[in-house]
Amino acid sequence: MPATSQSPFLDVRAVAALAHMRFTTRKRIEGAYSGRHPSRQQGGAGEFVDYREYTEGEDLRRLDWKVLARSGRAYIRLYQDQTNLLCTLALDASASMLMGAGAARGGRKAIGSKLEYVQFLATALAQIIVDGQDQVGLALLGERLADWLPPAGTASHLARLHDTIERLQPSPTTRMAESLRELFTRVSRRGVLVVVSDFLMDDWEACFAALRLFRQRQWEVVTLHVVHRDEERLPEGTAFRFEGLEREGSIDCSPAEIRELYAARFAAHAAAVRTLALATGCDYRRADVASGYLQVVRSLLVPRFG
Amino acid sequence: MSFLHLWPIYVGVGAAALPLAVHWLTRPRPARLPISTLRFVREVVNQRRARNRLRDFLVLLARTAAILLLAAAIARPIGGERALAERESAGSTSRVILLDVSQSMAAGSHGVQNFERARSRAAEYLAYRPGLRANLIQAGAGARGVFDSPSVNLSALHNELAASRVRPERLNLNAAISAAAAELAGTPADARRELVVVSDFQRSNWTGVDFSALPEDTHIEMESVALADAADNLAVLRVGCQGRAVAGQEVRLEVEVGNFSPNARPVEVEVTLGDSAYRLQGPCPAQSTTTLSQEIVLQSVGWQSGEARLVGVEDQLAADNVRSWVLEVRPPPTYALVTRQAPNEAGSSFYVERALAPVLRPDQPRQIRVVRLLPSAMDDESLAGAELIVLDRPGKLGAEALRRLSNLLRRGRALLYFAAEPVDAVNLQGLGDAAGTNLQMPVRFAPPTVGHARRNLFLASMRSDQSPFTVFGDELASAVGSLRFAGGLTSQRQDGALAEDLLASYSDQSAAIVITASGAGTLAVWNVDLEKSNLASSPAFVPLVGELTERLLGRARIRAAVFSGEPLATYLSPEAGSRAELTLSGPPGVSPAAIGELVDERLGVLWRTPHVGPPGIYKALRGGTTQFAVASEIPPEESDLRPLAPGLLKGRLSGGRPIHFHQDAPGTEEGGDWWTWLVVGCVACLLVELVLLRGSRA
Repeated sequence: MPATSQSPFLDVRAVAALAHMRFTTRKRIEGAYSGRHPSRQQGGAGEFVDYREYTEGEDLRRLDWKVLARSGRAYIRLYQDQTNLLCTLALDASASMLMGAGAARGGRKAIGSKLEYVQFLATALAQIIVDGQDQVGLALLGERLADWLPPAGTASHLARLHDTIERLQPSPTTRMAESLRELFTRVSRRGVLVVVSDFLMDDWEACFAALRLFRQRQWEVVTLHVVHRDEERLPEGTAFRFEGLEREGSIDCSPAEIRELYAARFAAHAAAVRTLALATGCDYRRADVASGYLQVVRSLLVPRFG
Repeated sequence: MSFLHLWPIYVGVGAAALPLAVHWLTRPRPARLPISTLRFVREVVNQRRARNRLRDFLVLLARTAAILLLAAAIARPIGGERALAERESAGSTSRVILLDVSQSMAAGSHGVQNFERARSRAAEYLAYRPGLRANLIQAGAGARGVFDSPSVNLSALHNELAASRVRPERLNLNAAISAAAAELAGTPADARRELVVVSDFQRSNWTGVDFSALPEDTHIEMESVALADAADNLAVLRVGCQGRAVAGQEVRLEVEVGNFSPNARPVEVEVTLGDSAYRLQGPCPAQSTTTLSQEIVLQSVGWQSGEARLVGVEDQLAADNVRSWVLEVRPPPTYALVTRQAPNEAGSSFYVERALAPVLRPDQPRQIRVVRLLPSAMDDESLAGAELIVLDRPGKLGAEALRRLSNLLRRGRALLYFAAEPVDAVNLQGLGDAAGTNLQMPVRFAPPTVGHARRNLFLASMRSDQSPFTVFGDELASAVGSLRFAGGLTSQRQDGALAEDLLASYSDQSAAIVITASGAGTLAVWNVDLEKSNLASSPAFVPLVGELTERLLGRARIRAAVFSGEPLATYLSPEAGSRAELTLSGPPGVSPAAIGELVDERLGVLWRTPHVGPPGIYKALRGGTTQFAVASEIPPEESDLRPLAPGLLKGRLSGGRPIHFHQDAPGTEEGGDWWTWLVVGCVACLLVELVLLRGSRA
């Protein structure tokens, strides 16, 4: 499928290098069309995988009459359906995503920021998913569910998705848990939810409560915890006036006095996010901005054989 | 509490804001930095803020306190109550400043005399302010005020204060207080009366201070300049010879040395006299005096002078390490024995003559010459060469003879009267009448009553601690126990006389030996009839007579030392003759007024001056030969530098008057150590700051 997207965040060469890999899941999924992923449904189509003793009420069309005739015992033929993947990219559009090495003033996109990192990552991931004949959707989580593109696999959809990612504007305030709940009400089919966030919102624990809803509906949830290097440790310097990105005010302090304590506090937060994610049944991956987005994308893909 | 200097306080208060200003001016300009984890930063900052705020407050407090403490230390806090004599008080004030100029004020340490500090302290009280009238009294042996009453001419007082010097005198405190009281009493009733005393408050001078002469409302300010450390002073207190210095005879040279320091010290004194020099050594206990002695033999006759000097001593008062002295070396003495008895008659005079000039060794001639005189032959010429006149059975003496004896007695001659006959009572009465009030015998002798024989008497009471009985020491009882007396006179106590003059009494309560001073001489009456008593044949007789004559001659010595700055009025010895051709001389640079003048008086030649000059030798010369000499000395009490306890002065000696005592010696004022503690506190504050900052970084 020719790429029609002109997104500056799409590195075609880098994505092409990952063409032999595909985005997959550990569990069977529920897709809209026939695809390459094992479906949760084991109907009459697809590849034969096994027999199972017939129980009353089952579809008689799947009864193996020949075996019944030879042995007098009723068995059902089981076939593994192949379906496509429905993946929804839920991107954190909070202002905290502007955290980066460069200046982030006046709402202008910052170079090297977490937001840019997420844009590159989401664009590449969406491209790879669509290239794998799967469908990808997009949800922008801000003050509310800012934008919602249901999963689709067409080139126009991908172009629109790329365009949406490119024009992504951070929201000054974020209510991510509410946004996820809203998303939950909108999705109809189970699939894969990839949540890309720095989890630096006040209601980050409520977010996982919302994600628990998805898990309860057998969604596979992947949490990508975006971490910037400057968040892990405070910069060197005598005194700074730290200004919050989400209208939190400012505070003057000397980093030297709190550096150790701060680092421990952030590490505790990251560990708490990981623990809660795993406890919720989510796949947790840490995405360091400094390590490059392709590495994270690669960790989500598996080699495609045949 | 007050401060010696106020400007550091002002500077310190201003500088107290310095840490705040420095903190504000040098606080780091924070760089703006957007951050996504502000709530983490805020949490951490809030977590540390309580501790940091406390730390910052403590650091600021420590810095401010360090500056204030340093300023206070520089300002030299002075504790205690406020001065009664307020230097800044308003209104009319009459202030008398009594400045101690006695010799002890020359003491000092590290090259700074107490007097220099006293001068600066006194100058502070002479600072101009409206309504202040002041006067300056320099207190030494006398009290010398600049003006007759307090004046507004403070500049003249300043000039006089600058010109004041320490005088080699003692402090006549009562004279100074009286002078100050007279000036303060003459001030207007509405004026505040202030007496400021700047002194070292020597214990020896101030123990007997009496403020009762001052007006009741006088505010007394004591400014002490006594040294803070323990007084460390050695002094030569007295130089002289024990007994009479007779040419060719041994005499005991005595030097009294005072050690007014807290430690015992060995002392060495070099004594010169004429062309001779002697060196005396010995230990001297702490806070006491010791007498060094040496037997010497003087050959040349006449007045000789010299000095005693402490060797190798460096102490707080150097002036008293040297003391001048004079000594008259006399030829072997001559005694005049006035008696009616013939020389070879075995009477009482026979025993007396031999007791006066005993033969110590058969091969040695008598060194004392006894000239027997008949009472009728007694005239000025015959008595001129006799140092001791002994009367034994003289019979009835005429009025002229009694007047002659009285004059000789007043001019310093010694008189020994053996009273044995009833007529001796008449002679003694006539002698007393001739001497007038100069002779006050403790008893009146009278002939024994008829029919009442005096016999078998013995000595019932004696002053064993006085000469002549001290010669026997512990053997006194056995020496005089066998003595039995008979004859003599009865006696009756006289009212108003000194009982101490009665040295011994008989068993019938009559007087045995009486010694009475009269003028410069001494009269001794020995009530005994040697012919009827066993005293003359007793071994105790010669020692008793010898000791008694020594005592009489010792008492008869003319005073050879006077204290500098004090009045001198002394008769020249009779050997000096008349005033004609006599000239006076003193140490170089001494004014004629300080040397004095000679005046012919009925009793002899009087040397007088209201104020003796500085220490040295003052001589009366005739043709270049010294006829008489005295040594001007520093009073010994000036060498004891120990100050009087302020509590004693303010309590017992103040007589209920309000007294403020302030000690100016470095480190000794009330709260004198405060500045040290303030500096320690300043350093402690800085250390606390360092610890806080280092702890916050850890």
